[in-house]
Amino acid sequence: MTIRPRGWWRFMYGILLVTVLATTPARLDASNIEGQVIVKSARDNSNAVVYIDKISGKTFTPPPTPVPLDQVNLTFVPHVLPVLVGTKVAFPNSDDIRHNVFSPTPWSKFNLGTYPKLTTKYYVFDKPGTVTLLCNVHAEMSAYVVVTETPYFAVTDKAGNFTLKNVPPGKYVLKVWHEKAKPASMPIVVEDRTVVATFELKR
Amino acid sequence: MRFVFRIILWIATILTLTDTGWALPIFARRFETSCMTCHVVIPKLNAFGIAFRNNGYKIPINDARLIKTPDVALGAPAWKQLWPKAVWPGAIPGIPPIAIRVLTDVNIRPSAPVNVNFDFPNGLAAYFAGPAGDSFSFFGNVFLLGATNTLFVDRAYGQFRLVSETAGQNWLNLKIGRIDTRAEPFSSTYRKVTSQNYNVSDFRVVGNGFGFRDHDAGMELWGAATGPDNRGGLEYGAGVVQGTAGRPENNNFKDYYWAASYKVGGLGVVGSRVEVEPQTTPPEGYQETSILAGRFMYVGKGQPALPNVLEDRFTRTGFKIDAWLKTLNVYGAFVEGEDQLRGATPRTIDSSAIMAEADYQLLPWVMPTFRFEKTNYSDRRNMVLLVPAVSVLVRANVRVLVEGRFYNRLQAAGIDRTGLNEGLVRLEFLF
Repeated sequence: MTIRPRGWWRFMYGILLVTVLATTPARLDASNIEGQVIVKSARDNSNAVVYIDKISGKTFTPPPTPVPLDQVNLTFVPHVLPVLVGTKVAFPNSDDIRHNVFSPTPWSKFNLGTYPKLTTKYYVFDKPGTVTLLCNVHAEMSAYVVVTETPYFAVTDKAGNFTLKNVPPGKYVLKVWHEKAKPASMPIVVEDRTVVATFELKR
Repeated sequence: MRFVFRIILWIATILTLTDTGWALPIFARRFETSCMTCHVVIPKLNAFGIAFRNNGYKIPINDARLIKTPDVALGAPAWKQLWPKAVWPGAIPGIPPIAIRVLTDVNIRPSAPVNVNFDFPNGLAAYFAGPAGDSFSFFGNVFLLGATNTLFVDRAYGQFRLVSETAGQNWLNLKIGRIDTRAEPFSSTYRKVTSQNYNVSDFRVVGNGFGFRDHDAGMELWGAATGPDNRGGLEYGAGVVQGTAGRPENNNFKDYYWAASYKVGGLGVVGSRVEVEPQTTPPEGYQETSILAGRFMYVGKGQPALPNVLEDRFTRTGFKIDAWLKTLNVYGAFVEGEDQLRGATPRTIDSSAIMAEADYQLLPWVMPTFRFEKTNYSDRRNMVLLVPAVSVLVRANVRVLVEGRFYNRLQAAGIDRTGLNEGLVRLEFLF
């Protein structure tokens, strides 16, 4: 008779538990929404923002740290930034020249002034909608902050692909915005598997 | 016999020397497409070329995806939100929108003292054209006349699209500059394939008088809209011009005109109203079955170079028909004119001009043409002219034109011009 130490059984139990947990499907409480946006009026399908519209009775907490929107080589980077309402956005200047950031959008007018390299200014986007950003010393620069009321959003790549991750089950309205096309929306039901949605935007 | 042999020799020589290689003018560069996308043969536009022109030099739908060299933005489009407190943004083409066209002619006039004349080059034209942003486009060319080395501005205009861009519709535009008017029944610049001008565009009742093909200083409101089922549609234009082909005028009277036409069948005059999958252009080019009818009128006052005549008050009215049956294009126009010459010996000259032409695309690169023209003046006898010609695209951007002009009973007052039969061989290339 072989006597095994008591710790052996604990070890085997632990292995079994980990194996069971790893192989048993967990109860899914979130799914992805994937798809493609075709923007025929633009050179490619990038920079469309896909997001879930306001969910009645639900509010979300904005991220604790500012989200950056940089100015590099006379360009706002990224060109399109979706944020949850209430998010603080940081506007660093990474160029060697002075930049300005202002918004002419009626419900979110602001002007951060003209500031030099390595300076960062901030603005809190507290109203939903698309806010236009311009630089009054470089007229070719522009960017858009799409302020949403849910944290479920994504920006398309050049092919138009997007993924909204970890969306809880429910019925929603999925919206899409692009600077060179009319916005579009569709109802969508999220259950326990990935949902696919496709948009075709026109001017 | 020797004469015929010499002609054949010249043609053979020219064909041998035409290997100029590929060269792409303005829009071909912009979209990296062949000339044949918009032209039947250089310079005659096909239905797609007409739609492209009617859309402000933009491909009617989703132009942005087809531009290979993106425009340079003069201000982000978002600046429009600030207008009138900011400059409305614009754009310029990403590459200089310039093209060169060279015309090299051999003129053959059997009854003249010098019956063969090398007109090398007959002329050289430099074009500039393109859209500049969403609602502005421009077009122009300067021409250097080879025989005299005279440089002049042929056309130079800008045009604003006054209503927002909608697929298949471009209802209102304002064109300003030295313009080719829409009153001209068939364009001498983007329709005519022969060297000989259309009589309906070029007949002049008095010396220094008006001709539809003159490019003049003025402004024009014009528009176009595709018809039902995305076919055909309406084109119109109305304008006021100096009336002196761009020269300074010594009176305050400005000439005015209008023109309207409607096309049934074929491609929409501004392309399709709805987005459709791109159609593969057949190798023989764009072909369609359609018919267009139009009317036009021009009223003006000029100072003719005639003794004892102070001014010429004239009107021109007419109509045109343009029918396409796949590779065959038959079209014609009739113009009626009245000139009231005022001065010491006032008189009225009635005139009319009629023309009909058939162009048949025998092969994608060979197009025979036959034109009949008849011009009448009340104080002169009829003029009949037959113009057979053949255009050969030896390369996509190199054309050889062989043309004859055969006059019948041609007599201007007091001058016997029956010996004016002539021929021409032209080498034309663009890059």
